Amino acid sequence: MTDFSWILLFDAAIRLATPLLFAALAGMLSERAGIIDIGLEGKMLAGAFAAAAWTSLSGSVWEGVGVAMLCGMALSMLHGFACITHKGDQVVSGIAINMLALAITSLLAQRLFSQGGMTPILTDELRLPSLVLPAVVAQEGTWISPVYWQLVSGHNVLVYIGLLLVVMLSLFFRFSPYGNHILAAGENPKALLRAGGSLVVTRYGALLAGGAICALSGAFLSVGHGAGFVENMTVGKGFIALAALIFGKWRPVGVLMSCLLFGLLEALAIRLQGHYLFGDGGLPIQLIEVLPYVLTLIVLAGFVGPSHAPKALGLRY
Amino acid sequence: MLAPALELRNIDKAYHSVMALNGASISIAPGSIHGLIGENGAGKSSLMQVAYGLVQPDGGSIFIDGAPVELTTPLQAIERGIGMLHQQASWLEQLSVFDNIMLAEPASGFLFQNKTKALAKLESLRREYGFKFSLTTKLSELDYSQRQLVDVLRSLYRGVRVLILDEPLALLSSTQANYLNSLLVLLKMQGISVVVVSHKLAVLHQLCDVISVIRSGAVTACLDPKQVSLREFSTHMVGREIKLPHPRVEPSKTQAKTLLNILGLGVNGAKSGRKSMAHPLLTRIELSVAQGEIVACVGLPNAGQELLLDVIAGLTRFDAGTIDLLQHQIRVNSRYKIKHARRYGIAYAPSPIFNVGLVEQLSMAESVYLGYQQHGFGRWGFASMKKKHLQCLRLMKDWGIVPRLPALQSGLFSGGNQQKMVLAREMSQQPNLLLLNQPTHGVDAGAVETIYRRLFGMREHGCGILLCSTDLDEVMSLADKICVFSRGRLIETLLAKNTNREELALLIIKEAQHG
Amino acid sequence: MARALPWWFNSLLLPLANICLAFFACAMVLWLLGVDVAYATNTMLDGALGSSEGLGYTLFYTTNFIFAGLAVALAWQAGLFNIGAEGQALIGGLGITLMCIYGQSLPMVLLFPLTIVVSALFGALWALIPGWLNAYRGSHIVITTIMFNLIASSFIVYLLVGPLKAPGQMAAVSATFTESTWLPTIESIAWSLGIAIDPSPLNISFIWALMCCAAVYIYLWRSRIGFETRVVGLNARGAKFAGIARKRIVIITMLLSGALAAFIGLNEVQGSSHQLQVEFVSGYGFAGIAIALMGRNHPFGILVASLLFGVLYQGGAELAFNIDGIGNDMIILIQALVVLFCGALEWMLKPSLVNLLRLNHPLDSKGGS
Repeated sequence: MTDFSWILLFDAAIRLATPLLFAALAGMLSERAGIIDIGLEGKMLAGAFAAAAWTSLSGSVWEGVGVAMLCGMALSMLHGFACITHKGDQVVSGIAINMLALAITSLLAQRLFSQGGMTPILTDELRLPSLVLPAVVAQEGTWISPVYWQLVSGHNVLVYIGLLLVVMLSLFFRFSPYGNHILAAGENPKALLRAGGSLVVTRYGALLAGGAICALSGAFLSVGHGAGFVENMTVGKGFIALAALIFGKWRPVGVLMSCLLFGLLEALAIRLQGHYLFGDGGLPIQLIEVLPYVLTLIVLAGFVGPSHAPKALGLRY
Repeated sequence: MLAPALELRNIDKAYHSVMALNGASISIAPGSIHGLIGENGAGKSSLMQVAYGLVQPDGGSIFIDGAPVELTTPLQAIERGIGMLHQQASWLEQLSVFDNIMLAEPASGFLFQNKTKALAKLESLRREYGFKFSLTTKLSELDYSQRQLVDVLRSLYRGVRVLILDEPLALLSSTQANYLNSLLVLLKMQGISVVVVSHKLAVLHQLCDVISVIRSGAVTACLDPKQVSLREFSTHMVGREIKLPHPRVEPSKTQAKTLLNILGLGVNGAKSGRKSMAHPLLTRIELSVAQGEIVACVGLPNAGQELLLDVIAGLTRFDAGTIDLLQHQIRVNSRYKIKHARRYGIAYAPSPIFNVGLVEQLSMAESVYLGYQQHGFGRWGFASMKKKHLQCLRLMKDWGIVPRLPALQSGLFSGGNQQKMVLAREMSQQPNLLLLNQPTHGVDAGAVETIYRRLFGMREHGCGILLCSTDLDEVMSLADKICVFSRGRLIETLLAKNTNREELALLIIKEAQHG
Repeated sequence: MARALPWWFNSLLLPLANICLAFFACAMVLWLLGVDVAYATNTMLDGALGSSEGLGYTLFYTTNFIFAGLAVALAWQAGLFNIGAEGQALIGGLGITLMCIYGQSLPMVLLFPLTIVVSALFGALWALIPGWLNAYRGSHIVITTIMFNLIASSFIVYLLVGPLKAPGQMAAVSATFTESTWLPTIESIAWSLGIAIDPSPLNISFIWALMCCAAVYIYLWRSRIGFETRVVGLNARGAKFAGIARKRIVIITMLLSGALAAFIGLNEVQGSSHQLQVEFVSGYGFAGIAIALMGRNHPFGILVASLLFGVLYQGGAELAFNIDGIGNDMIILIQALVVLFCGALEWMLKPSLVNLLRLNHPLDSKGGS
């Protein structure tokens, strides 16, 4: 493969990892607080639709992003209502949210735009801009120049926001007392209750924040990288994000690493489409496609060390 | 006279249809050490949970310094100077001492706490009381007694004036316990009231200014240890209402062959964190049960006698010793499970408190062969409901279980009837060895008679019975041999005819002083 | 606690109320979207039940829902959340395809039992690893089964663009099976009996679905393993006390659940499309969850729920001709609302209903009797 460019590959990896990252971070917040969140896929989809639809109707992409975040939060509230207030089954609730999002987005897309479930294609002004970073590294002709200009600078603004989010969440869990509340809610809810904290407030707060963040994932897909909403456009990314969360051991930096890994694998699979691994007649590319899933299974089987899941995850309180 | 620092009056609390607290009242004087003592399930934890705002009472009122208050969350209790140390599970292992103390402290900011002020104040408090751990240590590196001190420090930081300790002494060594006691005396001298909830009457007797006894959800006595002897206390506390003791029925045959012989049995405690937090649960137990013999195990809760039953039944693994069961010998690494136990002729009626003997959503008819599925289903593993239905009706008639509806869910029967069914089921298997845990818990007096009669009947047929009970009258009526447990050891084996109820009670309580 | 409530409250009244709430919410959404709900309902019912063709299609979809619902419900009885029905069905479909290709000369009376067995084996195999991971490694069955769904999808796509690809076709489908392997339709059977009904894909796998309903009932409520399965699902500690080995039960249950899911392939692949396509399972995994919840994990309830959803599906397809693109999405919406109200919020209406029917009993002050 003579025209193979590693830089392009990693560039694509970062792009593909971003939606995973937002969703996985959202899942991290929720699960750290002790609530299982299978509904990441649904919130992504809802965010994708809301961003594209509102942008299309209002003409402002940032408004669209804002509305997307509101929709994500609304779905999170529903999840919280079922799980926290009514102590319902968290898994069932997550699945309900996925199904609801799929149904409502498809319905609304069709009713509002009558384009077979899509939103109108957005022109460039109506999409989120890319950020060109200042010319910190200016020398032409060196190896670092193309790396900087292709790989580091020039990504969509949401990519940088995602990285910033990782840093912020790391700091949040280390230094903020509310970060400790969330940790307590997931590890030892009794400790939080006895210390005088409110389990309900903490969990709802974590869910709401997670909902907003997860919607950003969908917004990236529809108005950041993509140019509109297509029915069911998230297809399984929400579950891969869940896998990335587990693989990343529920920690911000770990999640970032595993999302990059999964993004890289997806980029590889796309790049190699039509080819075989190791020359013609070799292994099918589907093997690379399924690698994230297999990795997740290995992690879940406990073969890479004990589970780092929050201890009180999924218990009803 | 000063108003009491904390007073609870006529507190009622029901869980489903069971009254956990029934007009309980307690009054804590300022600057005193107040003990609260009672059996498991008597309501002491529930009462203190009300005082701390963890639980809302159905009736009654709470007063702090004489003024009525409503406590809907622990935060409100904390703000009014009430602090509580729980026995377990209040700590976040991966956080530091400082973070644990500051958890849910309202004054801290959103993103970054005002650490310096808090650190300074905590550090000075720590030095004042001479606690040896550092504020930056991770909690996982502290042992149990140090973690308790972290809780004390947190309460002091928040300006506690009534400090409640729920079973603080259960897991402490005697040195650690002495240290804690002197700390409590120090707190008392500073005007802080201390409430100690415990079983350890002997320790409380020395430590407290006044002790309240709680039974069946109500505080039945409030006594001054200096004027009331240990013996008198024990009559208030141990055992249920005084029933006329059932006349003993002596065994008609002399000793037959040994059914069960336990040698050197040990069960290790679970390890958690870097330091092992629990001492071994059972150590060097030696016990035997012969045909036609009824052996009773008594002791304070968690002394190990109930765990022993689980081990013999194959529900819990043991780490040392051997169990000889008729002609089978069970060793440490054999994969001995309850189905083997049943095959060897053991039947087990577990304590009704834990709801393990029945599955509440199954109908009574379906529960009749729970544990004995091989008898309930035909050769090919299928069965009609008729057989179970008939067997269930038979047992219901025999034992007076009402209502006589085999199709009704077992969870809808009263507790006493459920227990009767469990006993009926186990006894109808004609076992060689019958294990019973709290067999007459929740059962009405008339049925208790029936149960005792049947137990004696089984004894006549050569069955051996090993039972655990907190009801000393029951023990005296039934047992030929009594084994007393304390802190995982079998400290004494006596013949029932050589002792009486009061001596037994004293033996149980006194042992708590040592160790 | 259910202590003071009559038996029909939790088994009949509350679920019924939840279902009504789900339908009401759906109607609300449609009304908000400007759909004439009365007209829509009318069209749907007519399309589903108004003609023998419609009825045939309705029962055809019902067959799929029965298998999906039974698969989920059986696993649920053991306390397991099997979301992997789609993957298990796909792999089962693969088994059927292979059987139909290599066994195409066999007479139907031999072929059908064989495809049943082969699809069951393939589907069970696909459920085995998630089951094993849950029993022996404590892995969360939801995530493992979802992963296996995704892997199955990739695998089948690979097969359909490669080894199994129909020659001369652009689409990723297998070759069409020879007609002798096609499951006889009910219409053809009726025709040979002299009754004329309109053609539809309804085939003999429908009969098999009904038999499976009965079989699952007998299994769960009359057999020893079924009993032990229910105990494991109801009370883990009680199960241990009863000497039941949870690990064994989990594995057996997942195997059976996978087999049931795989039978969807009988209806779709062997009975209808006569070739392997990736999409034949789409939506049935989640539909199965809605059906199991609606049917309270009981074969009879599942039968009723499957019929209802069959009506919705077929009626929805009819609706799609009349109203722009409403049909399919509406089905997913009602499924989502059923899962929401009958599953996540299943106890939400309980306090209101208890008060409404004045079923609160005074406190019983005695602890026991």
